[in-house]
Amino acid sequence: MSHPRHGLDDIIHAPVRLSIMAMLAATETVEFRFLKDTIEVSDSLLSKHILTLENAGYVRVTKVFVGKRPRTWLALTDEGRDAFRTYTATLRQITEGLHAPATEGSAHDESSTKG
Amino acid sequence: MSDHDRMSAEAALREMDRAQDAVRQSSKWGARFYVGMWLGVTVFWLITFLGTDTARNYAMLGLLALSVAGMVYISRQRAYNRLQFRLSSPIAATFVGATVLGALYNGLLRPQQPGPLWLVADVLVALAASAPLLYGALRIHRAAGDR
Repeated sequence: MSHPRHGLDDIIHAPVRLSIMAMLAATETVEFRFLKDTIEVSDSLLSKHILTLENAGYVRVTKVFVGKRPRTWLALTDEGRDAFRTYTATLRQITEGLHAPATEGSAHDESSTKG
Repeated sequence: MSDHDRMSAEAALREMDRAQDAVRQSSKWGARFYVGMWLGVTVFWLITFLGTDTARNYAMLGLLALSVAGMVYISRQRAYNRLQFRLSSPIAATFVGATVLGALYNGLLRPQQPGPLWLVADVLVALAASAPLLYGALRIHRAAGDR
């Protein structure tokens, strides 16, 4: 039986993208600036990660104009919501040690999920 | 923090909690908005039923100001909580229905010189007309408090 960490979605399992996905999972839609202020990253870095999630089909980006000011809204797609559910289930499996024999004797290494 | 940082499962869960806490904090404003509207609307109906003509005029102005403030709040929101998003349409529809019923009660049923029983009915109608807003406030507040 393979370790559950192999089932972690690499697209989500990166610090900034995880924060984006977690916030979007708790909301219907979020404005770009709210994400930026909460996650505390630059515009360009946030845009880069959003593009990755958008290309994966996890995030839907909508641009609207309020007067002359552009506002960018982000939401999870159904596929993104499913992927995040699977991802969190896998994380809990790892932290709760529900996987079989592989963890015995190396608990610390097993909970480190990258590399 | 870069993508290349090693992230443990525990750290990932902590980060998820942190990010979702920010959303919960933001959605508490949604509950406060509903509480404000509930108080304003209840006071409006009580004054409409029990107040003087001058007080009624001020109450109408107050309700208008509250409605404008509500629209400004909604237009400035930067994150829409899922529950709040789902509740907004049914609450708005129920609120409009309750307001119409309140207006019909006031215009068609209620006598010009109401007795003590009518005063009890006035208070009940005022509470019923604003009840959808209180329901919204309680639901969102409870969801924001859940972990």
